[in-house]
Amino acid sequence: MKANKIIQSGMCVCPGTARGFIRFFRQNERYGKEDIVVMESWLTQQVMAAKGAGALLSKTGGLTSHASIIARELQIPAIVSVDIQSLEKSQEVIVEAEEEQITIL
Amino acid sequence: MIKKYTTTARPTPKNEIWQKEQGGIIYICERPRYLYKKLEQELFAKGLNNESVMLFGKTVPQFFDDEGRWWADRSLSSGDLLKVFIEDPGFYIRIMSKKVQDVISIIALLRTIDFDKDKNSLRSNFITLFDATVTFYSYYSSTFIVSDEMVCQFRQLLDSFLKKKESNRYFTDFLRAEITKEAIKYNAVEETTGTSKDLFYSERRPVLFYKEPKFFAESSMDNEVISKLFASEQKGKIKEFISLRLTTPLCIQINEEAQYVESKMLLPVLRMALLKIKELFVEQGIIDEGKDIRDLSYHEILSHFEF
Repeated sequence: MKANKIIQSGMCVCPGTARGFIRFFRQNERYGKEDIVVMESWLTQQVMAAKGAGALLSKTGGLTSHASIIARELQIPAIVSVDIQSLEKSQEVIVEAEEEQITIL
Repeated sequence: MIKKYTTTARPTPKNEIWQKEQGGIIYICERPRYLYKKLEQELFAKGLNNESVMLFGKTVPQFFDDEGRWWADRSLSSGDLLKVFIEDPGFYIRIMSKKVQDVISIIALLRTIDFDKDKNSLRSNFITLFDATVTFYSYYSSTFIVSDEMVCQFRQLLDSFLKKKESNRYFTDFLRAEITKEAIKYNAVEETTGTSKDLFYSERRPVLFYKEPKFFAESSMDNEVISKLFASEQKGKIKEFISLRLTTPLCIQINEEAQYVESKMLLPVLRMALLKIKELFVEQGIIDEGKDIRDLSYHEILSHFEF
């Protein structure tokens, strides 16, 4: 049986747990609860555009970034400053934001 | 000789802080990448004088170097200011209470600005907006400069006696701001990746909205956290905890508010006013099209209206 890979990285800016599939953020796309959206940059307009997502992971961003406060306000589980290198499109993952943990299933 | 360093709160090289000693005074430049023009230097210098009088009862030394970097006495640095506020959180709350009233007045004033190209109204707009911007930047250090340090210190303290999950749950209770709810409502959340911080950095049309911060943020975890603090080796840090528990949630809101007021309201209005003034001066042959109006001083701008 294949062991799950666990990534411990980043800072939680909105607690919560979500299970879904990795999608890299693209403008003008719609996201649903089954999408774990990965962003290269942590911008408020991107958080707003992905507000339907199950969880957000960002390579950049800090605790008090505008985008972090927006994600918290919208109650989307989110981790910023995540090492996103080993994440690939369509991978199934569980995001546990409070634990700053991503489990690749 | 300039000493350059970063802090735990702002660890990336782009957030380097510069320090140097001159005439027996330690000066800190918290934002060395910001290069201010003549008009901006006047605004910030006046604001900083107001702020140092408010904080310490006297003005403190400051200067702009040849490239426009702003250096101020160490007492206004993030580290030193944080110590002042941890020692006396009531003082921080008093200053922020005054700030909120000033921001309310500034927004009310912005609602009255019209953009006629009439010479007299442009002149009067300029005076009004200059004064409002000075008032806004009279809280620069206690808003923009201290915030990351304060948040970081609170976070580190929580991490020292709570498990990661508890610390994240508790801390994120405070990652909220009333004005952010309004910004979402007004669809005014867009930000740019630009790094330059000057009077013209925001090119968008102004959107005026406001909601006062909550001075005493709530968390359902307070009792549990306090009891864990007393049961931990950090129990001696209760005074620091209480200070940061009071100030940090407010600081997060005030910082968020300041950035919305600055980027969506005050600076876009000021920018529009300055560009209209420039248009008038160019039409009158007073300045060349290529001239940046921010390279003129306050008094130079006023004197150019005397045609």
